[in-house]
This record gives sequence, C-alpha cells and structure tokens, in this order.
Amino acid sequence: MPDPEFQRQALEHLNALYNLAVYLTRNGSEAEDLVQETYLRAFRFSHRFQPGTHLRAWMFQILRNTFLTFYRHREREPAFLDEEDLDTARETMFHDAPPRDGASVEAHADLGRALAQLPEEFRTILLLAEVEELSLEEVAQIMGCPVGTVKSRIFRAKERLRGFLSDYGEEFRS
Amino acid sequence: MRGEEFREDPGEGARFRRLLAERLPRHAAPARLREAIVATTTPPRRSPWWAPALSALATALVMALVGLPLLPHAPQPDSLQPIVNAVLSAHMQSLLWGEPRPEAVWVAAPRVMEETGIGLSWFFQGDAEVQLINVEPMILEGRRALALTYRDSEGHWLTYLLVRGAGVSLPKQGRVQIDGFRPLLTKVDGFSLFVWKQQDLACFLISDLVSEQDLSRFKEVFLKVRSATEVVPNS
Repeated sequence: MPDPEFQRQALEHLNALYNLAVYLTRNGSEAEDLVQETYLRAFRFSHRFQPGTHLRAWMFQILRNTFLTFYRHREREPAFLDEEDLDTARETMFHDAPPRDGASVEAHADLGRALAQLPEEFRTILLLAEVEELSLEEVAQIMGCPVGTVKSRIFRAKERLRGFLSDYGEEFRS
Repeated sequence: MRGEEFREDPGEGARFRRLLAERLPRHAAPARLREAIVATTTPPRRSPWWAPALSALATALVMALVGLPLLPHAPQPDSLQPIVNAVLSAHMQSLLWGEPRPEAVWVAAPRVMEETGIGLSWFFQGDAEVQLINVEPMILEGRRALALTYRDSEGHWLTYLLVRGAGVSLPKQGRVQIDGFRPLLTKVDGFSLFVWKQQDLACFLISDLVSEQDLSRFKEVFLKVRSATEVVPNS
C-alpha cells in the first residue's frame, strides 16, 4: 500500500500523464488503461522512488516504459486521430483556448494530426520538452538516451512538424 | 551529430512553444479514471465477523418473500461479452498489423510472462501444421493478458489469449466436447472462438476458421493448445 502522501502527489500529475497517454495510444480508452497500469506500477514500486527527485519525470518514465511494453506494436498502425477524439479534445482543453472560429478549429485538428504522424521517439520527446516543459536532462532520463540525442530529436521533430504544416501559416515558419 | 548543431533562435523556440500551448489540444483525465486509480489503493473495509451471516440471512429472506420461482426468468447480465469484444479487437489488430517474429518468440516469452504476471511452464510451441509466430503482452478490458499468435499451413492466423481474473462465467449452452475438455465454441463477427477457463485464467482461441471443414481443424488446434498449456500456479 503506497504512502498516502505519495499517492496524493502522484495523482497531481494525472492530467499530464493522461494527455501524454492519449498522444501515445491515439485512443481514449487505451489511454485510460495505460494510465491506470502506470499508477498501479508506481504505487507498487513507490519505495524505489527517491524523495527529492522529480516525481513527475519518474511517473512519465513509468508511463513510457509501460507503453513500450504493452502498446509498442501499435506504432505499426497508420497514425491518425479521429474526429470524435478531436471533438473531445477541444472540449477538454485546459489551456486558454483561442477563439473557436473555423480556422482555429482546423488548426487544432492539423496540429494534432501532424503530431500523431511523428514517430513515437520524436512525439514523446517533443511533448515532454515543449508541452510539459521538463528539462532536457529529465527528458533524457525518461527516454533513456543522452541529452544530445534529445536535442537533435526535438530539432528534427520541429522540422517534421513544419513539413507537415508547411501551408499552415506565418507563425510556424522559421 | 553533436548537440550544438541543433541550436535554434531563442525567439523561434519561444514561438514554437507558444504555438503548441495555444493550438495543441490537451486531454484532461476523466473523473472515472481518478476514481479507478484511487480504488486500487483503498483497502476493503473490514466487516464485523457476523456480517456475512447476517447478510446471507437477509438475502435469503428477501428471496423467499419476493418469489424464488420467478428468478429463472430474470435476465442474466452477460459477463462474457465485453471481454469477447476485446479479444476480437485484439485479433483484428493482430491480423491487420501483426508482424510474424517466430525467431524472437523464445527470447520474448519469459519477458512477456514477467510483464503480464501470467507464467506458463509449458505451452504449444507449434508443429508441422501450425507455427508459433509471436508472443506479446496486452491489456484487455483493463487486465493484463498474454497473447500467443499462431499461423497454420494455409495462412490462417489464430490468436490465443490468456487473461487473469477476468471474472467471466461460461454458459452451459454452446459447449463442445473435445477429448477430455468442454470449452465454449461460439461465432463472433465471422470468427470462431473457443472460450474456457484454466485455473484462474480465462482463455480464448480465435481464428477465421469457420467452415465445417475448417472448424474440425480449429478443434484440433484447440486440443493441441489446451493440452500443452501448463500454468504456473499464482504466477
């Protein structure tokens, strides 16, 4: 049984973990299974967590490892997010959303689809570094690769996103 | 390549981050997910020693009063259907996207057993007619599952799934006698499916062997799979 304080702190990161899980699995119900399995493992191995280190990064690491174990074969499937997922996503955004005119809604769909087309290694790194704002060192630890590799993958991920969205608008150009 | 080559204009980096923050949908966890996670850590409340007896007595009383003869007509919830749907979905994914890796099975099997918590001291390793082509961990209906994929000499794929604690009860109708076993044999969306229980595992064998002739071959494969499976108790 995990320490209640550990449990409380771990649950603070539920939304962030679920968000990454949706982008990894591209499927809401599988994302729920993945996150639940992640917490199960985190609670079971909570004694291995070193207090004072970054709990959020540790949880992300467990989530990614769990994904690779149970869902990696999914990476062979063509990448897409269906319209229902995107509709749900629009409703559940917790950033301040831009005005929902037609162009803005389309922009959400484009960016979500473009991101889903990135290989998992690029997608996860981009989300961890640029959306969750983890440090490069933390991302490197989660991904099990050197910081230099993280930098190069972020760079390449951005290049690929630019390629996917080349006709998207001024603000995405270099 | 060195990290220095991937430096970018700080203004560009900030613009990119802002774009992601503003335009990329963020998915909030549904409330039921939090509840499900919390439930896994909440110990069951201890009832007083007499509670089970009292509960049983009260239940018996209510049953007698309401009318026991009517109960056989009450609709029974189908505990099997959700897990069968998940099995079908897993088999479809395997058919569409599965990658035969017979050479990797023996390396992968111990790790998959460890990951799923489903230990098999023996399982059907294939023969001249059926080849074992993959072993994978899966999650079905929120439960860990071990999946073994076979391919027969005519190219039909068969998925054998073992799920721990699925809590399914098998109906008596639809059972077939095959040697010393009586599994449930059913058809789901054009696929044939065997369902049986072995120790605390629910086991499924699914394939597109549906014609009368194919079905007799499917039964042979069932017998090979079922006879060879030895589960490590409480693995």
